[in-house]
Amino acid sequence: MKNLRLNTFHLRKRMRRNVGGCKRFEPQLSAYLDGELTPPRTRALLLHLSGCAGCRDRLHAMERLQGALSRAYATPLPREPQLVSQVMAALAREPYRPTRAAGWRAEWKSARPFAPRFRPALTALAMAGMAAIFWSGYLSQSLPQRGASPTRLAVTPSQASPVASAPTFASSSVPPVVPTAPPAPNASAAASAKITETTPRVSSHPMKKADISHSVPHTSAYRVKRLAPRVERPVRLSHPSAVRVRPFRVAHPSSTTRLPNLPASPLTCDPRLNVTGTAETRDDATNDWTGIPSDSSVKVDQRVRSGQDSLVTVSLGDGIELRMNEKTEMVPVRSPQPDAPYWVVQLVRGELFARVPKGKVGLRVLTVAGDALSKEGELIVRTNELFETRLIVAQGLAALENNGVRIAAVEGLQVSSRMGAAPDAPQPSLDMNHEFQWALAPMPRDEHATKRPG
Amino acid sequence: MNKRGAEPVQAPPHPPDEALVQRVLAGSDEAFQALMLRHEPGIYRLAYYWTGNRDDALDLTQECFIHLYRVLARYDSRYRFTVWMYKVCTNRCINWIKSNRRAREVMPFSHLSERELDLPDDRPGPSDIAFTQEAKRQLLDAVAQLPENYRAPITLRFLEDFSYKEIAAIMDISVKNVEIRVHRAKKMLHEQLKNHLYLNEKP
Repeated sequence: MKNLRLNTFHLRKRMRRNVGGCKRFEPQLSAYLDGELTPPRTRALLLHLSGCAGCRDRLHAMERLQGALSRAYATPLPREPQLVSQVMAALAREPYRPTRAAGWRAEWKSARPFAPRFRPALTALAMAGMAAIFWSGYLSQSLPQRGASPTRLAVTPSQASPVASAPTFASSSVPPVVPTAPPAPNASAAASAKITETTPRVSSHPMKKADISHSVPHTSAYRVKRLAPRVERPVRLSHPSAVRVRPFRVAHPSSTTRLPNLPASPLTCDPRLNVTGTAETRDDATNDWTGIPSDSSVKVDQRVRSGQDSLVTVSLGDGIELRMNEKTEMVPVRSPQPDAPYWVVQLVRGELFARVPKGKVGLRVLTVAGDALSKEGELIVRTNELFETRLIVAQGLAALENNGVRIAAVEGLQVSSRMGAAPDAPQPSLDMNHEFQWALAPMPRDEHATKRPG
Repeated sequence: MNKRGAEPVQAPPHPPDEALVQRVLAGSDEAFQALMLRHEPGIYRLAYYWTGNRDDALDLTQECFIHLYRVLARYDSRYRFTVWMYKVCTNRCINWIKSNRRAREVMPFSHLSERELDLPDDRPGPSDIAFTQEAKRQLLDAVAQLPENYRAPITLRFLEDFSYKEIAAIMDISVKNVEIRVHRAKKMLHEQLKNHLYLNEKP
């Protein structure tokens, strides 16, 4: 053991390392012979060997085995020169060619994206993702401060007007059919005023409270779009599968002359649509369409349904609804007056279906014979198969519709029939062509509020 | 004491293996041929001492190189190419051993020719006298009897003189584990061959 040359200083210093005995140092003999022990471990082992004869014997035996193994494997083998050419020939027959891309594909295909060689890239990716998340959170928190800049987000009326002045009946000044007519000048002003008015409501979102505090109209283009009033589907639709609905005529009850009858141009409505709109009238002289003001006493609710009579509902007010089809021509004549607390409408032609709820105000339908009004207060009602649901005024071409034929409940109308029976208790034996005589007479104002006729 | 330190340091081959690998990945088959010419003796030796006969060693070497060619795109540049190559080929050899263990009946190295059993006489050791060709055959047989976990570090250590660290990289185990396995393998070999003269001879 010529390598066992330690001075006594190190021996004493390392004496405490000589613990564990042969059980600890015996497994290190091979590593010692192979030169794989670190210097401290080597010194500790040599220290142990200096005092352990058994380990020295084991070391010698191991050394002999080591030499035998080295010699056994040291024999050079004869070269096989044909090996390389055989392999190259085999590879030439193989279609596969190694490429870098194939290497990356194979790495990912073998489901080892978290292999150590990818860890730096994955770590960088994760950190970038975390930074992006935090950054976006910071942005959303600091958004009100950024939005307070009026130069960026304030919308001038000129910007807001093209969006807000989309064709709508509520604005009541847009010519949907005649493109030559310019929009009313107050349309944009009204639209911008609407936007300004509704701004606090929309910006009351908790994230946007700063907008209110700064009182800056936070109206980006997106918000203007959202704030714009919902555009109802206009009545006049042109559709390839549209059906024609002849124009119904409605006139303002207070000034029939100012709002003349609608022109003869047909209304085209898609039968599959359930169209809700506000009626418009067109002045024949100026060819301008004018929507009936929403605060008017006459509102027309048009619902055109497929397969039915293309009924258009006209609300007179007071809950009275008249339903007309395309053949109906009707003119509201008079609103309720103190002496006659009922609506008066003139049915020019066509059929009229009316729904009159219980209330203080009734309905009076004038029919015409030719140009002259018919005898006021007389309607000839003929039952049909839909007796339960509606009555059709045959002669006057007017129909009163009420649920359950409760015509007697219509206030303001005094109903009498030739049968002498109230129509709310119809005889089950009525034949289809049975005729009733309805006497439409105004009721005294003090009576009709409390007294039910019939 | 350190055998590796005693050996002269060989100059690294030019071009280095890694550059040749990059050329192969760029589409050069000549580069792979150069790689093969450079490493064919070592791989053939590896295959020879795993299989124990020439024919199987030739087949296994060919199989190893074809497999290397297929997986070359997945070469992990963290390893030295030689280490990575021996990692691939050692796994290939172990697979071959496992698949041929049942089919093989004759003991390996029992039919080695005189030439293959020749002992190098340029390495005098403490047991020159007793280490005969028969002793070498028995030693190789004893190594072949070891489990693959213990045979691989012994083979890599004494055949290619890999360090424990490189063996650990090849076998995907820790350095400490290599140390333990080498020692246990030597103990097993010693237990099996302790009656032979060359191991019992006192220095």
